[in-house]
Amino acid sequence: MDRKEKDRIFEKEFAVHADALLTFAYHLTLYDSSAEDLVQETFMKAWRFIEKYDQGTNAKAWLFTIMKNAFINDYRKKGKQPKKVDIDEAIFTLDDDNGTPLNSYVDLRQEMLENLMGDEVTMAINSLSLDSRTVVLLCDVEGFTYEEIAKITGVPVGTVRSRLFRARNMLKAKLKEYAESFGYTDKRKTS
Amino acid sequence: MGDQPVQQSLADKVSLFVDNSLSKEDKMQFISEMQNDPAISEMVAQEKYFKDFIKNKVPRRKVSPNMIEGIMRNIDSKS
Repeated sequence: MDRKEKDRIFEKEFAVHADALLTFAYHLTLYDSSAEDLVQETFMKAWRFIEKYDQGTNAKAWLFTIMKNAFINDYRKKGKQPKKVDIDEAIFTLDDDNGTPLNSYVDLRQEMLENLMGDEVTMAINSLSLDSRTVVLLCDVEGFTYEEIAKITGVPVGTVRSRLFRARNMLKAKLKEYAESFGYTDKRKTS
Repeated sequence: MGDQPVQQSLADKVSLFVDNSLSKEDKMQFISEMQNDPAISEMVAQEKYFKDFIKNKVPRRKVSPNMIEGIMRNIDSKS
């Protein structure tokens, strides 16, 4: 593959996903400067392995896979061992303050969400474990299918489904907490 | 407590439906269940709203033109 062809692929198929990659990188690293470094590293790796990429196929999923792997490798190099147990899984066996098991469906009314801003949503997502926020971001923000998420994260589709179910419930519980702290209540409880 | 496993299975189906991940047959069956049970339709509406809410509320970062130029400069320097 000549340089001209590589430049074309990079510009037309890779660079177009830069914003999405930066958003994902921010939620992985939780710092803007680290996120930019991770995006740079991802694109450098994508360039290095560009001949392994099938032109016209799923560049976004390919790039996200590179980013996820780069992040995990970097995480390990810094001496941080991934948790053996997903903390959200452990918390999920408990009940909330009202005695409702957190592994049951969390019913969150639209009117409670309406007044929440992007900051609260960001904080809520970033409060989840790495595994949980990864699946929410990949599915609900970036629109990947379960199969694509399974490939990006290296886990079976069944694990993606269960992580997503738990992660969304935890997110709802967190957002409900924020809404209630602002004085918004589930009106059904007062009727 | 006895109802909980049934509710969880329904919640699971709602998630799969909203994520467009039910098989064709299961999807048709679920649509039929929705049409016959307003409570299920309501659950689906709530879940769709929540998914869209997350998608619309998460701020998107924007990469500066300088960053892409910087990446291309790095690539050129290593070529």
